[in-house]
Amino acid sequence: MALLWPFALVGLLALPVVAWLHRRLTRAVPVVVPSLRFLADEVDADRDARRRRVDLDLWLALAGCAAVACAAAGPVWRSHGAGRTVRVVVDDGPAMAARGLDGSTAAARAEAAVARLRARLAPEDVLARVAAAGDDVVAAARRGGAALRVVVSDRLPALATPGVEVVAVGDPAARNAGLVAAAATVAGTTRRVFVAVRNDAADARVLRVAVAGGGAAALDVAANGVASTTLDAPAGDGPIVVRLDDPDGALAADDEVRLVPSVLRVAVAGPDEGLPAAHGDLVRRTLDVVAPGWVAVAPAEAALSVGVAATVAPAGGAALWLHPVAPGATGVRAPAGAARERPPAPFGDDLDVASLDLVYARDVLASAPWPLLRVRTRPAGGTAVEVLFDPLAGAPPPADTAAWPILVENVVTAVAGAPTPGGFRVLGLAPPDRARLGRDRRDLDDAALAGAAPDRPPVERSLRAPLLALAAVSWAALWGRGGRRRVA
Amino acid sequence: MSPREPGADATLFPPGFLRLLATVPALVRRVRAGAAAGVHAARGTGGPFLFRGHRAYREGDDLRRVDWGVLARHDRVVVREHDAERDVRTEVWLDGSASLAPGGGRAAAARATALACAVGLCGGGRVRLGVLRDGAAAPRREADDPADLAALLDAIAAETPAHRAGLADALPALAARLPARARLFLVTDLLTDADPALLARAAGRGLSGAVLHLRDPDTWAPPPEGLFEAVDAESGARRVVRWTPDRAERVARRAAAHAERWTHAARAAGLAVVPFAPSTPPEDLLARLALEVP
Repeated sequence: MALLWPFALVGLLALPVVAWLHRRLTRAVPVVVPSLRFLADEVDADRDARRRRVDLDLWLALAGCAAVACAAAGPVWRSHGAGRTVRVVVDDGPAMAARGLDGSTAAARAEAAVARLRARLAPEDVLARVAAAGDDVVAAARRGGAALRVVVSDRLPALATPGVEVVAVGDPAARNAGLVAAAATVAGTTRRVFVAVRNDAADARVLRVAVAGGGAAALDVAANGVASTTLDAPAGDGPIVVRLDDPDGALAADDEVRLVPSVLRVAVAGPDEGLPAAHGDLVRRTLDVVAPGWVAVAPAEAALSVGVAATVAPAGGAALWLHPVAPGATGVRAPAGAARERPPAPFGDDLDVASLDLVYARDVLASAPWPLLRVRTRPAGGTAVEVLFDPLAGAPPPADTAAWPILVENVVTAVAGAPTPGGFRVLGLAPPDRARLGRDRRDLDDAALAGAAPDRPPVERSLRAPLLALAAVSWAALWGRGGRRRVA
Repeated sequence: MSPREPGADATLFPPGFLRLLATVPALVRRVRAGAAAGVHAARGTGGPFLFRGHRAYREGDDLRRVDWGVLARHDRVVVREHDAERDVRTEVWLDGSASLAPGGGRAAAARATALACAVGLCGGGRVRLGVLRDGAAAPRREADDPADLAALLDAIAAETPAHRAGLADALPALAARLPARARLFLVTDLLTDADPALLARAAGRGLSGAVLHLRDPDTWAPPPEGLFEAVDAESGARRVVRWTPDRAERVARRAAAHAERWTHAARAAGLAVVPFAPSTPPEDLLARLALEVP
C-alpha cells in the first residue's frame, strides 16, 4: 500500500482533538444533590461510569475522522507491483528429443531450465512460454512485448542475438548417426536404393545400413561426415524400408526411412458426404500441383482421405478434414491483425499466416489466437489433420493465396512422405539441419534477469472511495444516534 | 396581618405568596368554625366557649367578634375572646442544613415555614421560630401578633442553608425545649442518619403539629439518563454516576423506605407528616396544614 499525499495524514492529529471534545462533552456534569445517602448502595456506579466513558459514539466519530484523513492521503493498494514479462521460447525441434548419455533428453533439460527460471521470478513477474523450432526460435522470442527474452535450445545461434538471452541445454558428449538422404530407382524389375548416412559425432565410425529384404553395407563415416552407398532393394511394388544400425545414437527417429511409391491414393468425399463440391474441386486442383499423379481411390484403399470431420478414413491412413462454412451461413471472421496460432511443425513450415483472411464455421468455436490446424491421432490409428478455417471464405480466400498449396503440401508430405526424384515418397527422413544435435551448454545470465526492467506497470487500486464510504457510514450512524445522545 | 414589609425577600416570598399569607387567618377560622370547640381548648373550669375578655381590634379580625356595645359606649374597637380560642404555643423549627439548598429546596422550605408561622399566629397564638443546625436547636424569634409575621419572614429569609442539621443531637435538644401540649411544625428534608425513634421519644407530651417533609426530587431524580457527578450539598463528597432507569428506581425505593420510617415515628409522636416538594403549590400546602394538622 502506498500514499499519494502522505502529508495529509496530519489530519490524524484531529483524532485526539475529537477524543478530547467527546470527553469534554460527555463528561459527568457536576450536580449538587441534597445527599448521596441513597446512592451509597450503588457500589459499581463509579466503575461502570469510567468503563463506559469511551462509547460507541466516540468510536464512530474517530472512525469517520480517521477515514477522511486517510482518504485525503490518497492511499492506493498495489495488488501487483511492477512486473516483468519474461518471454521464453523453447525449441521443440526434432533434435530436442536427443537422449544424452545420462538418459535425459534435451527437451527434459529444457523443461528443467524453464522451471529454474520460473522459480527465480518475482511473484509479480509473468513467464510467457512459446514453442518454436529451427531458425524460428529467435524470431519467436522477439515477437510481442517483454522485459526479457529467452530462448531455450540445445544449441547456441550461429549469429549474435542482441536482446535475446540463450539458454543451451545440449549434451556435449552426445553422439548420433542418422539417415539424411534416401532415394530409389527402378530399372525393369530391379530396385535400388541410394542412402546417405551422417555421423554426428566427434570420432569416425563404421555404420551398417541395410535394406529390409535387400542388400546391406558397412560405411566408414568420418567425424561429422557423410557417407553414402547404393543397395539392392527387394523387387515388387511394396515399400522399401532402410534401417541404420546405431544402437547408441541419441536419436532413434532418424534410423529408419520408408520409401513408398509416389502415386498418392486419395479419397475425396462428395457432397453427399458433407463436403461441398467446390471444396472437393479445390482439393483436387491443389493435389494436382503438390502431388502430381495422385489417383482417386475408394476410401478403403486411400492413403489420404479428404472430407469433413465425420468422414471415415481407413485404419492407419491419414485424413484431411475441412470445416466449410455452410451455404447461406455467416462465418466468424478473425479480425485483421489479430494474433494467429502458429501451426504445429511440420504442417506450418514456410507458412505466412499473418496476412490470411480467416473465416470459420460457427461450430468450430474458434477464438483468439485464431488457429489454422488441429492435429489429432485417430482412435483407429493414423493422423487426422483438421483445417479449421474455410479455404474458400474470406477476401481473398486462403485458397487464392500461396499459403493454401503450401499447407496442403505440408500435410501430404507429413502423412505420405516427401517426393524423391526416383518416383518414390520417403517417410521418416528428418531434415539434416533439424536432426543435427546441439551440444552447447549455457545457463541463464543472472545479470540479464536481474537487470531486466519491469515492463508492466503496477496494478493499483485507490482506497479513497471505500474510506470515504466508511466515513459517511460512521457519521451517518453517529447522526442517527444523536436522538439518543446522553444528557451528560 | 400585613406581611408586605419592605424587607421581605421577594425571591423566597413573591407577591403571590404574600397575598396567600394574608388569607391564612380567614381560612383557618373558617376551618375551625366547623370544628366546634376545636382541639386546642385550654384546660379550665369555664368550658370551651367561656368568655375570657376583650382585646384591641387588629386588622384581619372577624368583624362579627367586634363588641359593638363597647364601641358605642366607649368609642373603642375591641373584640371578644373566648377560652376555645386561647392562644396555642406553636413551635416552628426549620432544618437549617445545606441539604435543603439544592433544587429550589430552600425557597420551598422557607415558604412552608412561613405558612406554618402564619397558621400559628392565627387566633392569637404564639409562635416561636427556631433553626436546627449542627446538632443544636437555636431559637430565632418569637411572635404573638400577626403583625409580627413580617419579622418572622425576615428571620426565615436570613437563614441560609449551611452545614449539617445533626438531627441526632438537635432533635433531643429540641424536645427539651418544647412545652407540653405545644404544636410543632418541623420543616426538614429528613436526610439524616439519625434514628427516627428520636421523634417517638416526644410521644406522650401532648404534642400536635406536623413534620413538613421536603422531598426534594433531586435526591432521586437527576437528569433522565446519562452520566452526572453527584456532589453532596452538605459534605461536598462527589460521586460519578451513570444514571439509568433501573438505578433511579432503586434509589427512589430507598428514599421511599426512608420516608416511611420517619413517617411511622412521627405519627407515634402525635405528629402528622405533610410531604411537599419545590413544585408543590403553596395553596395546596396551606390547605393541608389547615385541614390535616391538629
